[in-house]
Amino acid sequence: MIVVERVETATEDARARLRALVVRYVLTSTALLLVGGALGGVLRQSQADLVVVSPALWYELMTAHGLATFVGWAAFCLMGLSFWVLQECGFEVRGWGYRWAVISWWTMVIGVTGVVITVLAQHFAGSWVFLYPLPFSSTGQWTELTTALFSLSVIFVGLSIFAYCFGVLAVVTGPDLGAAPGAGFANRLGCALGLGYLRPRRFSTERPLPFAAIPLTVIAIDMIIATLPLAVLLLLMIVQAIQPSVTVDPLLAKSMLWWFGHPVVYLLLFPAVALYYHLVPRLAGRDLVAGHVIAVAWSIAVVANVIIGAHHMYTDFPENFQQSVNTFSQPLTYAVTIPSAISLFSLAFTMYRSAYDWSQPAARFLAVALVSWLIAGLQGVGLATIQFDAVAHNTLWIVGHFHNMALIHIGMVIFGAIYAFLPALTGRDWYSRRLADWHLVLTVVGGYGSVVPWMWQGLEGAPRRFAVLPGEYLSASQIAMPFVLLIVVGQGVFVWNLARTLGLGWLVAAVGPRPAEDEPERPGEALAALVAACGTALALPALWHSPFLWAPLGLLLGYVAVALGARRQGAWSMLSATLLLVVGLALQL
Amino acid sequence: MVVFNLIYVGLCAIGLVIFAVIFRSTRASQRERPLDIAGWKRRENVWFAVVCVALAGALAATIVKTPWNAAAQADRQVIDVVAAQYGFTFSDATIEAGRQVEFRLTANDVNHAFAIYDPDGTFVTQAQMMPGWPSSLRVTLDEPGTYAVRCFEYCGVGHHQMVTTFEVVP
Ligand SMILES: [Cu+2]
Ligand SMILES: [Cu+2]
Repeated sequence: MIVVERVETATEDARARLRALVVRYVLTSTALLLVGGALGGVLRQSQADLVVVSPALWYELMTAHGLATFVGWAAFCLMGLSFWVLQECGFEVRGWGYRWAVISWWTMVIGVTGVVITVLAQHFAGSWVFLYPLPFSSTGQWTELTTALFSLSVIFVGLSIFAYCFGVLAVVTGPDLGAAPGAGFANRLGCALGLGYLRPRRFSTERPLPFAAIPLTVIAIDMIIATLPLAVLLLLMIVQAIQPSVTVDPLLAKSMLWWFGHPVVYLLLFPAVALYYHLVPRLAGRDLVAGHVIAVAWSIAVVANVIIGAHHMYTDFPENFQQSVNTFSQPLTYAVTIPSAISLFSLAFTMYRSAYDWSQPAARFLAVALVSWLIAGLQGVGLATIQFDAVAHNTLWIVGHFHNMALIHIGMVIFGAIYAFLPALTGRDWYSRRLADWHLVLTVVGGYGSVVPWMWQGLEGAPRRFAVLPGEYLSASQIAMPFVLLIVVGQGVFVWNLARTLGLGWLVAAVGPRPAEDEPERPGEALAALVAACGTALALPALWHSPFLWAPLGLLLGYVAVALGARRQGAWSMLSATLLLVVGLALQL
Repeated sequence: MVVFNLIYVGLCAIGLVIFAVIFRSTRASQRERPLDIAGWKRRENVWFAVVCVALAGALAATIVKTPWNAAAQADRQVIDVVAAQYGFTFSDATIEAGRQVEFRLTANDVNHAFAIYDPDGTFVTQAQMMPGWPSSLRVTLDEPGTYAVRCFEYCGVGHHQMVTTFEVVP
């Protein structure tokens, strides 16, 4: 009896820790959305000729915007939510699964801090794809040391992705999979890929595999394969910054970049699909309507996803061997749309004539997201077509397409999941459902209103990544501005709703002193308080020089102090670093 | 391009109608009839086949229309174009209308790209320019006038200034 109770408390503790970690993922990534989104707004209004920023600053902000929103917000948030989905569908996230999730959080935060410092304080403006050899040919904008630090920061982001993959694989191949006793890793991996739906004897599990586990397993496998060459390229870039005689062939570097650059898009899409597979059936009160063909579709995806990066190079070497590569890339890219098509079918029929609970904010967000998936996904099929890409490549049409996909499809899934999960994660009900509706309407109307002008401009031949667009595109840029404002207001509504939901009490509990009866004070907390003091000290120079260098370091140390146990001191340190950043910026202006 | 846009808008319209039907089917009155979920699952196989056939059809219709595969004509004009941060250098900036021109593209420092716009400002074609990997782009420009060239690969903080023109004469 006592033993059982202890096991239960241990499990409860583990769950509480996971809940706290997932909330941390959600809040950090939401903060990065606000920062990255604000940068995007600055970029767009400058192109619309309102408050024009210098081209050098514009390209810096562009670099930071891409990394902050794509990686720091969408990917980061989905990584955290992935673990919660697994937890909710019967895979306890504990042991190494949990440890990898913690490591993934820390390495991402360190990486993003490094990116912020190298971009905003040291003026790195190589764009978020940092197409080699541009980082070493800055025309005086940044130094090789900056390139080395930037590369190191992106390596941390890469480490975070690895940790995520290891964590997901540890969980899905763990004891909760229910594989046959003594089954080897390969067999358990096959089970987690859903192969049991095709060959039930060979890949048998005690319970049917939850469908949500399949896309997560697929992306965990693919991102390990995809990230390795990029990590090598980044290491070589650090070496070159120190020893300039070491260089990389630009074609090899570009191939390594896109080998990673395509699958990383699916680091957003596939976890979003897992969220759909998990939440739509729950809202519809019915299991996912999926035949065995869904396992076929995902088997295609796990292979095709990592070999189609070349479709980002359709316009390379027009008369040369690239054309044969291209000819293979188009059908393979078409193939990777099959899981999306099958998923849309399954999700549509899961909803069809069900008691879909529209009263939930998550239900509305996911319904809108499904429509956006179709709209943006069809664009993707067009773009996979060489004939169309030849015209659309590197125009603003592309920018419209991926904002359609990332913001008004995947973003809606992320928000939907946050609306669905937060009550279970924090034990608090949402402050207001009406505000959630406003968040939805403002983001969708603002989103499409800002995406459509981009696509229009792109079809007219407007190039992307131009700080100053040729004059003929100005009016469309200006038409988009009111819609951009709607997106901004929408996120403001979301943050307000989130803050009121969590409330001051939650904040105090999160950063306040530990309840004394629980644990005695640990010697580590004195050290942590010291770290917090160092954080404040590090942030002080922000008043005189490079606020974006010193304040983020102060913030990071402040958070380290919180994590080490000096929660109150750490929180003060983070607060002072933020204030010093604002004051430092104001003094410089 | 027009065909692509029409197909796209058409498919989106069909999709919106289907979603409208699905969303409306969640009303209570629609749930009274018996559900055939096993049948829907079977139909997913049909859908899989439909998607594969549609993709194969789209592939067959478009892969042959890949641009850039113009065979070199014997009487073509050859123009060397060198890209460097932040400008293009042409060996000759005057081109004859209606005669094939072969742009030999090289980049000196970082990746750039070569995008051509006709005298009306309509996009014509583009190709990447990669340091150490020269390539060529063959195209026939029929309409005389001033053509604009823009850099189409982000190449640093002067990227948007990397624009130039050339003349096509009758
Ligand atoms: Cu791709
Ligand atoms: Cu350029």
